[in-house]
Amino acid sequence: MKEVNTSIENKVVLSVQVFLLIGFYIFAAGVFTFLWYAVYRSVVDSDHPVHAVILASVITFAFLILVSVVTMVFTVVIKEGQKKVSENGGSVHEGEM
Amino acid sequence: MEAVKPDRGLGKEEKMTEVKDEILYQPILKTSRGFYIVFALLLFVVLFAAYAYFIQIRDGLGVSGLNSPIFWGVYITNFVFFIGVSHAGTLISAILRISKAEWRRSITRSAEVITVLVLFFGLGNILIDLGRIDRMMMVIRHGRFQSPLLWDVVSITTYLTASAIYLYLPLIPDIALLRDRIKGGFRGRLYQVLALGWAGTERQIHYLEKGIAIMAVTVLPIAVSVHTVVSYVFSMTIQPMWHSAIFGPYFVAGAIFSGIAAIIVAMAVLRRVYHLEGYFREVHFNNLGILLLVMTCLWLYFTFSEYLTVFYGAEPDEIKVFMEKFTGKYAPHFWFMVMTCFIIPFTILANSKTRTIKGTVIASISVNIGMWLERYTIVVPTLMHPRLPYETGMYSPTWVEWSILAGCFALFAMIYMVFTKLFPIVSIWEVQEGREKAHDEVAERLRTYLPL
Repeated sequence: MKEVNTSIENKVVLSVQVFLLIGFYIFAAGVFTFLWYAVYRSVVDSDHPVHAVILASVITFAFLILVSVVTMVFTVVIKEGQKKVSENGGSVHEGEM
Repeated sequence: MEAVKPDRGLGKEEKMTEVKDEILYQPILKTSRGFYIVFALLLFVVLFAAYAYFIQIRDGLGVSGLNSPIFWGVYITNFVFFIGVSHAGTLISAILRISKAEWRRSITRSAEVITVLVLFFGLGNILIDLGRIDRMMMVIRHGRFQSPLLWDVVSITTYLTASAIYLYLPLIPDIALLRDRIKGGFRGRLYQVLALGWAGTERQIHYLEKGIAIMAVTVLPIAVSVHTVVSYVFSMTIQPMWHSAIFGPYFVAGAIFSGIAAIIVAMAVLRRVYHLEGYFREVHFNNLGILLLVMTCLWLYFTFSEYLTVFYGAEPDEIKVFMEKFTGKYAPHFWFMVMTCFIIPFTILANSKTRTIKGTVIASISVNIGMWLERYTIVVPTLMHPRLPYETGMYSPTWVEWSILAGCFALFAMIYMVFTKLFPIVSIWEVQEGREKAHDEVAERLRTYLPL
C-alpha cells in the first residue's frame, strides 16, 4: 500500500515538474509572439521594419539561450532523478523506503 | 559540487560539515517572535501603501504631484533606482563566479535574490506611473520598436527571466538538501517538486554546472543592456541634460554602485539577524567595500564629466537645468547627493581603519540614499525646464507617492524575509564545495600564474 502511495506521489511530483517546464515554454512562446507580432506590424505599416527585425532577433537569440539552458538542466536532472527513483524503489536515495 | 553526495551516505568529514553548516538551516526550521513582529510592522506599511494606491486608482494621477510639464517624478525615480539595485546580484555574482573569486561563495545567493525581487518593483513602479494599469496593454498591442520604452520592456523581461533562472539553478542542490530534511506538508512537497529529483549524480552535477556557467556568461551582457536601455529612455530625447552620449555607461556604473551598496546592507542585516558571522565575514565587507570605493570614484568621474561638458557648452536650455541643480530649487538635493554618493563613502572607505563592517554599512546606506537622489535630480529638474516653451514647472511629491515608495521598500523586505524562511540564504553546497576544493583549485591557479 505504502509503495503504491509513493508511486502515485512520485507521478504527481513528476507531472508538476513537467508542467513547470511547459509553463516556461508557454511564457517564452508569449515573448516570441509579442516580439514577432511587433515586427509583423512594422512590416505591414512600412514602419522601419529592418530596425524591428534586428531588435527582435537579438532578444529572440537571448531567449533561445535561456530556453536551451532550462531544457538541458530540467530534462537531465529530472531524468536522472527518475532513474534513481526506479533504482531505489520510490526514493532518490538508497534505503529510504 | 561534490558536497552533495546523498547516494553514499555521510562520511565522518561530511558529518562535520553538516554540523558546521547547521546554522544555515536554522532560519528555515525555526521562526522567532521578532520575525513576526517585524513582518507585522512591514505589513502595516504595505497596507498603507496599498490604500494610497487605491486612492490613486480611484481619483487618478491628480492625487500625485505629477503635472504638466513634470509628468515623471517619484515613480520613475523608483523605477530607475530599483532597476539599478537589481545589478546587485546577477551582475556581481556572475562577475565573481566567472573570475573564480573564492570569497563569493557565501554572498552570491543573498545578492541574486535582491536582483529578482527588485526587478518586480522596478516594473511595478512603471505600472503605478501609468495611472491606469490597463494602458500596459497598449504596449503589447501597439508597441513600436522605434521607442526606447519598448526596448525597456523587452530587455527587462529578458533580464528578469535570466535572473530568475540564474537564481534557481544554484538553488537546486540546496533545495534537495531541504527535501531530504523536511518531509510532508506544504514545504516538503514544494521542495520535492523544485528539487527536480536531484540526487547529486555525476551527470546531474555536470549539466547543472554547465547550465550555471552558460547563465553566468549570458546574464552579463543582458544586465549591461538593461541599464543602458533604461538610460536611453532619457538620452534618446533632446531634453536638456538628458541628451547625453555618456548616459548609458553613467547609468550602468551607477547601477553597479547602488547594487554593491544594497548587497552590503542586506549582508549586514542577515549576519546580525541570523547570526551568520561565520559566513559574512569582515573580509567580505572589506572586499565589497573596496569595490564600492572604486565605484565611488567612478561615479564622481562620470558625474564630473557630465556636468563639466554641460557647463562649458553653456547651451541656454541646458544651463537653466544645470543652475537649477547647482544653486536653485534642487541644490539641496544635488549637494546632498554629492555628499552621500562621494564625500561620506569615500572618507569612510578610503581609510582601512574605518573600512570596518560598521563603516562599510554606513557608507552603503549613504550610497543608496544618494543614488535615489541622483535619479530624482536627473528626472525632475529637466522636466521643470523642458526644451519646449512651457512655463517653468513645479513638483512636490504628495503623501501618496511617499507612501507607495515606503510600501515598495517594506514589501521588498517582507518578500526577502519570506525567501529566507523557505530557502537557505547562503548557498550551502557552494560553501561546502569551497571547503573541499578551494585549496587545490587556488594552488593549481597559483601554479599557472607564477613561475615555478
